[in-house]
Amino acid sequence: MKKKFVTRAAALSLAVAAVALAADTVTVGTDHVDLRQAKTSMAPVAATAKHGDALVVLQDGDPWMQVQAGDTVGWVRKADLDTKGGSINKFFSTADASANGGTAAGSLSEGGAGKGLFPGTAAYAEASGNDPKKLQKLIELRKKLINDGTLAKFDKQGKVGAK
Amino acid sequence: MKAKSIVKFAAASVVLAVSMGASCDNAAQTVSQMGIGGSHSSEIAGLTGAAMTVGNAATMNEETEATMGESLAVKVTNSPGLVSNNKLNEYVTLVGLTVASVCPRNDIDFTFGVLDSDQVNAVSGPHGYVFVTRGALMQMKDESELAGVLAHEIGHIVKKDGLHAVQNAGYGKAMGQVAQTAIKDNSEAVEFLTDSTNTLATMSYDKEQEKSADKEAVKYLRGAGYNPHGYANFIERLNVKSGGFFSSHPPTPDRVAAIRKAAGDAKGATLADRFHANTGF
Repeated sequence: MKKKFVTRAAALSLAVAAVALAADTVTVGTDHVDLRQAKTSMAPVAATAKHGDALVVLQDGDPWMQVQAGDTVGWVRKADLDTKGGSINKFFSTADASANGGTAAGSLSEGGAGKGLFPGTAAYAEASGNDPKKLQKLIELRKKLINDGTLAKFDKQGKVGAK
Repeated sequence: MKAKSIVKFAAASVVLAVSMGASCDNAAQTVSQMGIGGSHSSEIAGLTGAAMTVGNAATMNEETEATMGESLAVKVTNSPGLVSNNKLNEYVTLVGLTVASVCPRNDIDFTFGVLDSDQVNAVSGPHGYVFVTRGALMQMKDESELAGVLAHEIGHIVKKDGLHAVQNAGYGKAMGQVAQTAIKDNSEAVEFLTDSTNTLATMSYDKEQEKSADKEAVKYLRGAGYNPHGYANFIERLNVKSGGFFSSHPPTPDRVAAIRKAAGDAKGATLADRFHANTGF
């Protein structure tokens, strides 16, 4: 995807997680964030922004913000954004990130068996001897069914789903 | 129903009745007393109410809820594990997403799966993790019944019932202390998650929460275009076969009546042919 880098890194580095500043840009601090075609997690993904990408905020909101990346306009969850980068030792964020010395809030694991899961989940899986890939497989299945149009076709065929 | 004894079915039905209408500790206890719960009985029954929070459910941050939900999902996808037939997982996911698309929580990614267990059960965890057992699917007649079970579990998630249950059980304070403290190392958080998931095996939903989840289910079913009477049909069928064991829980006939009253004269899709084609049951 094309990306527009209109960052204000200095300002963002002082901000708490997921705050859209007056500059109307936010930086993706998590592993990645999906820009969806509508403000619902059921909507297909229009584009995916990666860690460090800057997104232009068109419409601030919570839980959904409308943003633009390059030529792509989409909706992202405010909670999925993070301006601080990740810290593997930060399992749970608090409402006030500064209370934890400004450690990351909401960061996803960036690698290993638990990639894409929250760090706490990945560590729990490792400690308990459970394979996180089994859940990840389900998560990937859900994404595929939404993004390849299977869900829309399924709903149309059965005349069910959101009107 | 295929190759399953009446006794075993009755016990399994009880588990579902409990999971959808009452407490998990009683479910596990009852199955244990009957001695036919199987190796995963307490685990599945326990996780029925498996939803957690840190501190106040109303103010708990999303990342904590998601981490706990993910951890629970990791646990059940490993034991008892998912069915090997991925078509079942795909079908249940499609039905679940269809129902979830009309629920108020449009900000979370609902994930669905089929657990490889003969028991009749459905489980849910915070932040959108919903599982139904193969045994439950085998008792269903059409897609509206499956949609109903999934809608009920979605209702618990939307209402954050498990989070409130944990808080009411006195765990909120301890969890809140963890949340308010910068976690120094992995072991501290892992210990917390391990304790939490294990502790939740004794969590329970109260009668009002179950009734509320039923009402939510009917709303979602109507919104998604499914016939909500399918959900009542399924509960009613299980009640007849299980004999209505649980006096301490909402009497299933009452629940059925309440569901039917809420459903009124609603029509909607039942999709029996599609259910059978996709499940083989």
